[in-house]
Amino acid sequence: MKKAGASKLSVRALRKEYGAVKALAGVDLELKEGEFITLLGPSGSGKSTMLMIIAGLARPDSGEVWIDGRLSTFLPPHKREIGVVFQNYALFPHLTVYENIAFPLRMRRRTRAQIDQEVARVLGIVQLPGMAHRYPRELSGGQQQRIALARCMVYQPPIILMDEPLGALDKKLRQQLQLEIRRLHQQFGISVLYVTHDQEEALAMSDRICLMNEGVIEQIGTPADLYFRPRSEFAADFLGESNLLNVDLLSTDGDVAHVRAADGSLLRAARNHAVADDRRIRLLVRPETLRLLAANESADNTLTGVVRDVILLGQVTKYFVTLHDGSEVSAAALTESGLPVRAPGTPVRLGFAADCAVCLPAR
Amino acid sequence: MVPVVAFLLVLFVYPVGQLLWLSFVDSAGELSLTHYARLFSTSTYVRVLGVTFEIAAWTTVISVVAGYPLAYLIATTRPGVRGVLILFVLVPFWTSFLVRTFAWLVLLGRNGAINNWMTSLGLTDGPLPLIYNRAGVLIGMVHALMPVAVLTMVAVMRTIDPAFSGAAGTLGARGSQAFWRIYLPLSMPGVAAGALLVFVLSLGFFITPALLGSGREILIAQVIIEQIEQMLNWGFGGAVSVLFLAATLAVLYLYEKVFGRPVALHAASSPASVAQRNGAFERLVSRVGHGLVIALSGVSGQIGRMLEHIRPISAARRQLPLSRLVLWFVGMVTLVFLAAPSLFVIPVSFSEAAYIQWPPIGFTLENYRLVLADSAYVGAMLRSLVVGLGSAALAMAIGVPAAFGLVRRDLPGKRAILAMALAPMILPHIVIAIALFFLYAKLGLVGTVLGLILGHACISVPFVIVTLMAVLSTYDERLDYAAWSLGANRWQALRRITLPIILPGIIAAFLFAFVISLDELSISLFISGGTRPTLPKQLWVDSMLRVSPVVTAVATVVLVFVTTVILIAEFTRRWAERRSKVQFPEAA
Repeated sequence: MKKAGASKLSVRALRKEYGAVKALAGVDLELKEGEFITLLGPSGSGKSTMLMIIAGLARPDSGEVWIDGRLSTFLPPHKREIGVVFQNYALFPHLTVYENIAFPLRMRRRTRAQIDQEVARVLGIVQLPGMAHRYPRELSGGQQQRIALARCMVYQPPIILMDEPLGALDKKLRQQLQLEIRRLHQQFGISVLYVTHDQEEALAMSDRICLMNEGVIEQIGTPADLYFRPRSEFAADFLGESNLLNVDLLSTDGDVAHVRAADGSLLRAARNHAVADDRRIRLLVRPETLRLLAANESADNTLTGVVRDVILLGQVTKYFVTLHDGSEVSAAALTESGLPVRAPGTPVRLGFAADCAVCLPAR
Repeated sequence: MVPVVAFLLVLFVYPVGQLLWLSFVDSAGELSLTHYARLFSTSTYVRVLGVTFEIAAWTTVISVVAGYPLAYLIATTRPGVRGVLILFVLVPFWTSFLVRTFAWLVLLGRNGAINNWMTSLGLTDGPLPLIYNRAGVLIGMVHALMPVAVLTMVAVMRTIDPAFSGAAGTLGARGSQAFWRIYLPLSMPGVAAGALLVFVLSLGFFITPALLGSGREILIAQVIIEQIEQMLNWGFGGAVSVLFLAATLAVLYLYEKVFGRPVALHAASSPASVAQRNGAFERLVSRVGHGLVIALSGVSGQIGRMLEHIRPISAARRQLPLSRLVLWFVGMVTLVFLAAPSLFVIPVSFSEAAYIQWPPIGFTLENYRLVLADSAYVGAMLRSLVVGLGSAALAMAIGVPAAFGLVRRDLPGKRAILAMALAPMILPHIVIAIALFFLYAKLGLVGTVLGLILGHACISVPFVIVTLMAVLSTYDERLDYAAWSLGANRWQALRRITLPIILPGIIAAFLFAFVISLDELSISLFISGGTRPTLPKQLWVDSMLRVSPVVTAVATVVLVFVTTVILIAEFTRRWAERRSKVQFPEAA
């Protein structure tokens, strides 16, 4: 793996409107060499628009695109040396697998021998040798996906853009190909910008996740950053599951914030410098950090309520607990046969550590 | 399904079959090839056949090649713009051949607009012979048939995923290379289907050569008309019909061989399944085509690189792509060629001049007054309206159930039924006309309104079926399932859910059928008899004597009326498509 550091791709103040719809409202992003960044967000958040602009398939209203230190905002796609894997693969239906993969090499005027050799090489990499003379329609979805990847990798572009490349596949195949793409990324040191609306996919694959919402970047950081230190309710809600409590921020003390819950109990939480003191805020507590306390157990913070429902989800068992103020939270615990199962109606105490609770500005 | 099959068996398959049979029987009723011998022994007919095929071939080549850029522009532009552009192709598509041929008389005639402009600009000393020659016939026929080519090509091009061109770009192809190597091959089924339709329709043409030709450009259809009208020579008419049929089937067969799919289905599915080529001939065609495309791709790539030296690509500035500008220019020229000529008929109809000339002199309603005073014209107009409404109603009555059956049911022989239902669209109308004439002569239906209604319904049924199948295929049947599950029986679901949603489509289909009848000339020519013409027939008879300003007044009325009906029909159809396309949330 190459050393990360140098900027491969950067976009600055990118704007794009479709009529009255703001697809991108001033976006800055930098992709470093060998880095895997995922653009994550709901549909219509502008992630695909950004990808298309970087690929040269759409033009921004304003802003700049720099590729490998070269201003490329309005360069046509064939001048960019960027590989793109499209949502539905865009394999040319009238060409065989061989001709599809050879296409970028022919455009680069490679010799016959070189083309034969390179096509065979990438077919080996994606583990589909012997498919060269089939037509795309004769392949399964997963195979088409791999051929699309092979076609994109064969000319060794330093940057690869992927637009929901696994969106059309079933869950098992998705997970398998996620690992495969990640392996190829690490093996060849390619810089990847990956678009998805699937949070698990983003968490599984990325070095950094760029969370987008309504044409702006909501938050950018490592998967752990986004998961454990979301900066907004949107980020907290979009990644993973979340309990959001209405609390009053009382005071801060170093990295600790003191807040008062709706039922009056005093809680401690991790301080968030983006949140101003002394106002109503929201407190994020992930279900898996909420523990059902035994009678003799204690925790940094405790909440009390009544179990409404218990659901066995497989690895995890979920408890839905109605708090005294009427709001509801969920707690998740690994399913163990020894765990005391509380029937609905049982009063319980829920405990969580101070550094597992994140203060968020109220929406 | 039964009514449409019965209807077409009686009014299409049986009479056409009968006509074909007659061609193999001599005057004594014995099997013989007399008619074919006559067809091929006389040098006149062989020459006419040669001219017919030659003109049809040229019309096809010009229509497809010149129509391609416009089709490409329409298929690749923004949806809003596309809607407008396609309207300008649709209106000439539906405007009667007769009216559009008159337009060329006004434009290209000795005293026509173009000669007038060229002389006044000092480009020429005197009027040039622009019509009454082969060029005039070709201009008229290309103008008449190019919309068919364009619409067919657009239908196929719209199934080509724009991501293919984008993908080619990111893989290193410049725009022109992506076009030649990716887009063009994928659009070939459309080109071939368009060419096929134009060619087959050209073979049956008679209006344009009769009005714009020199007398040397006599096409086979004109010979048939003469043989039947003046000599009632059925066998000979049948022999020529067999020839038509053979030519049509041959090109249909060729199409299916090369593209692996019947032409009627070309637009129904994506071109993704095109690449199957099996036989040696198909492989050769594909090889040659491939080589040509690669060569063109190489040449255009070089030109692109050269142009870059003259006009370097800027990464910092937004540039108008040159190729797109050229495409727009070419597309607009073609569109003007298609849509503008008919408009020249209008001012001439208000002219005080006693013959057709440009510019019109003064302003008078005299021509219109003469039309209204002429009982032949008034009668013909009323007759056309009655026949139009009657035949459209009949076509709907049998076409709507058929469309439902074809879209919704998995019937045995579905393909055969579809082929039969669409056949009247592809077979030259003149063949149907003669066949019906023969049938009607025995039944005593010649010269009756009922006969006309039946005949026109025969050719408008395919359009009704095609229009409704398109609307129905966008209709989500789960809506019916929902209605049933909510307690509606089949009839209630149909009446309260399905019909209200597809109603605009039904209205559009009715209006299209109405316009087809209103413009129909071939069938009316034979079966309306001498005394009870439809409006197009009356126009035709008059224009064979002399195209007078009175004729242009009638043509103007027809033009305005038909254009209005077509615009209403088209907007209703679009509304129907939007409405029946219920948006379901996408699965995450």
